[in-house]
Amino acid sequence: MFQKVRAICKSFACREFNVDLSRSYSAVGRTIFALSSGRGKSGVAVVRVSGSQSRVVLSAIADETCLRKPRFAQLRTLRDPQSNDILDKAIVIWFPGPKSFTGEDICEFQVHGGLAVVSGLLHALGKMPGLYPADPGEFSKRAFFNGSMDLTEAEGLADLIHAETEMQRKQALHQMGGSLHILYNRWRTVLLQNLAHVEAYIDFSEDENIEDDVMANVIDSLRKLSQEVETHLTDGRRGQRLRDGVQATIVGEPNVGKSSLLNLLCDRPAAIVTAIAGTTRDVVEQYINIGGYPLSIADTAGIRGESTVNDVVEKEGIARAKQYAKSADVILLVIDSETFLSASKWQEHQDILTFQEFVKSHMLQLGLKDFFNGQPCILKSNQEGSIIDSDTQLQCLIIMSKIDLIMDESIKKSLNKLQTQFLNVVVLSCLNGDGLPALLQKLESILEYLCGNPSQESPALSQVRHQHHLIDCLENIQDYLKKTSYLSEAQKNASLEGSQITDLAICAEDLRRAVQHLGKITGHVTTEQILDVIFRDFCIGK
Amino acid sequence: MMMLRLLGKLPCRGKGHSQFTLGEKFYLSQSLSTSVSQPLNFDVVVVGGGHAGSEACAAAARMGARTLLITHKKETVGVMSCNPSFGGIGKGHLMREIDALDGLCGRICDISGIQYKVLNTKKGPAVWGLRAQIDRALYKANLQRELFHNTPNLTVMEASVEDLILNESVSQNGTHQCNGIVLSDGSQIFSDAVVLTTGTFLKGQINIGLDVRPAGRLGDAPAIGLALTLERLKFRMGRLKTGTPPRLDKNTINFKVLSANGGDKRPIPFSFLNDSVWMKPEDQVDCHLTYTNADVANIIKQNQHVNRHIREEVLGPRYCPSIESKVLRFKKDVHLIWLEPEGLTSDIIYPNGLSCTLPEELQFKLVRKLHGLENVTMLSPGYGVEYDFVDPRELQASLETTKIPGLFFAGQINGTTGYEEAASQGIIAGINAASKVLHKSPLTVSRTDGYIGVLIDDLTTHGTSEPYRMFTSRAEFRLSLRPDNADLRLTEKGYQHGCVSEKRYHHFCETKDIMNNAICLLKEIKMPFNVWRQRVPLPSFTSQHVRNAFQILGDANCQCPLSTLVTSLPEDLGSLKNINYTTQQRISIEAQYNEVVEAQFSDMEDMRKEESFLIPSNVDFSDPLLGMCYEDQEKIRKVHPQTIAAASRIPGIRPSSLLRLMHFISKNETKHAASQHT
Repeated sequence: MFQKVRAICKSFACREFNVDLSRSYSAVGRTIFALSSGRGKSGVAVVRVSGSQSRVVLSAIADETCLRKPRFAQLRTLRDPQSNDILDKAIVIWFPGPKSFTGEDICEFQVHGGLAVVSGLLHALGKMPGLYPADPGEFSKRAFFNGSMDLTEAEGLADLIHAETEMQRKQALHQMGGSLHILYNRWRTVLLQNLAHVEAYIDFSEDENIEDDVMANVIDSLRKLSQEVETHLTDGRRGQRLRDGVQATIVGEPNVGKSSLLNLLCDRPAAIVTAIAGTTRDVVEQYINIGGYPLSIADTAGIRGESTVNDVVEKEGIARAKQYAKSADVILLVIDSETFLSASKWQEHQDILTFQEFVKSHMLQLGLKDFFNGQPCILKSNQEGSIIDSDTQLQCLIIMSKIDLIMDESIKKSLNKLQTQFLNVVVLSCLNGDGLPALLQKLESILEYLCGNPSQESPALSQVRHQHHLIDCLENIQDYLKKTSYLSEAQKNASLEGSQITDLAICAEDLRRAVQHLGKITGHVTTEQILDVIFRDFCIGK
Repeated sequence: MMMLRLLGKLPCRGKGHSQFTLGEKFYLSQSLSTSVSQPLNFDVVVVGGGHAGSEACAAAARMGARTLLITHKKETVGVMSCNPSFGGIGKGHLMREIDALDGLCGRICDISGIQYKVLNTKKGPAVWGLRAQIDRALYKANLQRELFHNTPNLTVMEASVEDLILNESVSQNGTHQCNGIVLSDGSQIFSDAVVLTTGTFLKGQINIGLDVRPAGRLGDAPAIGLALTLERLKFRMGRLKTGTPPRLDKNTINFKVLSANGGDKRPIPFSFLNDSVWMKPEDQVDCHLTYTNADVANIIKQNQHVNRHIREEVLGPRYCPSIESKVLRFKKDVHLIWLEPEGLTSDIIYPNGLSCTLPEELQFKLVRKLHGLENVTMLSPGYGVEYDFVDPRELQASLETTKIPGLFFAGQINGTTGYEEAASQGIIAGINAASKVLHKSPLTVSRTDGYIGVLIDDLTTHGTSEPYRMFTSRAEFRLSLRPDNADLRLTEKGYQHGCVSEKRYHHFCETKDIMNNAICLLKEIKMPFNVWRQRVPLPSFTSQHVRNAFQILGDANCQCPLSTLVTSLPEDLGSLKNINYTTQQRISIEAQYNEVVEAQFSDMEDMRKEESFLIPSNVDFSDPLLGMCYEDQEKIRKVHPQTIAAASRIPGIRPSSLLRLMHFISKNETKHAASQHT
């Protein structure tokens, strides 16, 4: 009996259709691409493609002849397969699986390091069917799962993982800039809410009094959203200009010399400087070059307590200052030396603890504490060996300004000592330039770290990826609308109801995917977040 | 064994006083120790006879383990202590999966229901919710007959369990192994695995108005001893609350003024083994609908001060709130109340949606404010229950605790709510308790295999802060995990593992064969769409594409049922005419979902890969060689995920931490293998 049963089961194992879902689909897997080298002043950038489509990609962008010599560097002219425009003259290498980093077919493009070239290539790849920007860590993950671990054992794996994953981690907030960030997050909220309402309609509408117009409202809301996303995509220049280079933001209380610092660094009067507190209202941004590294430096409105500010413009200025500080790579916190002296009644030989306490409370006062993952103190004492704070993504320099106003030489001397006691403190006079060499030298070592370390992606390249995800998201929303459009009609016209049954589970899948795509930009959406919306908006409870 | 069984069948005298139960237990164990010369010894002991316990003991026995079920009262085995219905959206999915693993509840419901209704029929088969109103008395009787008389290897005993027998195991230094249980009279029963399914009985407490009394269920004593044991073993415990509505007298309700809701004309059975349910469609019983109003809301608003349950902070479910929470949280007065019959011969009506904890006299005032209930007699008041639960992150996917090998938890003790959720865990815990004894590897269900997998993975990865209930929105592969194909997903797996009978497996293989043949046949018939239109009535859209019959069947725009295809192409498809209705429907559903399910293959494959990458229980997350940042160490240590898939779902975990972990584990494995080799 048992044997017979087994025989029956075996008899259709060879058939085309196999209902037990157990066949291997590895061949169906997605083909991914990403820039594998970091940003910075590199002459060569490496773009990798991994997956079954790699062969097609290489043939389309270079030519098929590359496939003849595996693991061999070959010089080719790269073209955008759609427009046939020349992208670059570059080295291509073909690594057929399984003898490759990921165990899959890989093609590697070693192009000139310029931003235009790299983003052009990534754009071209993104337009090819079946190609997706890699998720953080996806290359390494594939390597693990395809058993090509031995290749990843090579030293420098840790760096590789770091480059691959950290690169995209902060960048969402980071280079998107304030307005885009707000926009994407609003879309996410709208989409999440609509998905939650559809899910609620699926899971609860039969027994609960979920209002009948829920589905029609979802359609209305999604129509608006899809139009908005579409407009945004077709007008690439809208929204805030993406900023390149390392972002530095100058923050501090009003009238501590922030604008003077900007002017000092730019070597020209970029910002208006007056003795009036609150002169700078909006953000003033300048591009400078320090030690060969690109730096975008932003001067912001002085931050002071909400209660003391009545001016709407100044309030907005302060909000922008905080927003900028949040998305910066480097914060230059300017503190008036006199403020410190009077607050701490600091004497010549007092314990350095006092200074630490002061900085701590000052940051609390300015509302900057959260930026540093709640770290108790951001000061780096000279015992720590490095100015770099590798725990947070944010580097900080504390600038004690207006040292020229301190007349007492012994106090001045001991203030200057702070500069050696703490790696990230600079004692500066914007008026006569005292302390400027120290500032530049400290800034440079931070820039060296940020640019040499491939932990951040260039904004132009993030834009390529964002666009890709946005297009996918939009397509899915449109699919949903196409499939459900009859629903809103049916509700308006009762006679239509029941005439056609649309599979709402299948439609909902489009929305789920739309949320996933947007989530790749704004952060992953969890089931719990969807349930939170359901139980907030509906009274479920039989 | 025979002796025990006979003893177990002693009629229960008296109702729900702990003194009595103690007496009986004493009597029982005395007879045991005199009649059985050796100490009692079983393979698996299941504590608790609710829906988790029933499935657990039946599954363990099916696997061939000598199993003992211990319950406070034999009479209450299989009792439905809350609503008189089974199934629903998401829950029906679970029942189909339990049935696919040869569990009980689906089959029992097919012979105990009084109204069968599939929810969501207009929203697509993936989210159909099989549900039935159940006759409480019938369900209990049918289940007890199955367990007490038709389950070989199973012994049932009435007793109260006070403690666990723990042995220090040789293999794992310092940890304990569960080797049995201690009854309240101090006697011991030895076993290699113990499954605790104590429901709301751990330090259970009932709240009505300001009145608080310890109880697991109205009329049943709580389990204090076991709760203390679990505390002593340093299991992370939490507290939850739930509630149940007052019960009403059917004869005092004016049904004439209420709208009625009947069953389906063609009831769909829960079990894959059945083609129909026990009762004729026309004999099904109606439910009725009424609404709350402003008067009801006022009573609730004015009496919050005498409502202890509502005032307290212990978390209750957001989706099944008491009527008080509904009124207070949502500023509207009209809420649906379903009046559900408790059985064919019962006079009791269960007002679903009216769970409340007000003092009894206020509840009485409240129910009489409802339309149609102006003269109703309240048979018993609603009440709230508070109980201890174990943080389910203490469990592995097999439902064995990480702390105490041999100890399994299933059901409400893990923070879930609902019969179906409990039964799902019960069957898995039962199978794996037996697997442990029989030296088999555990049977685990992946998120890609079924809702049972989603349930267990959610619990063991994220824990829960409210009673956990299944929704289809929790399943990422909802289009694949359908009620219609649960057997295709799980029966083969269960059979290989030994928990599915030959009879069911044979039945499964036959169905699968019929479906395969039909689908292959349909796929072979290919023609351009314009030719299709000449032969089969199809809506008019022009297309030159060649389509096969399976695609035509699955295309929502074609609106072409299998029967139409068969009559239009008799020479090709005539052989399909004899396929029964259920299987025809299944073939159509397969066609409908074929494309969308295929689109999910690579995602499913990715998840399976991550699920199969195991994280050993002894990994030291703070190892400097691993180099994981402190924040992520904390997060991951709290859950101790068993797979990379589970780890990747920890909120906020960095991808780099996961990669480091994968690398670290593989490197250690290689090292370990190498050192063993030399």
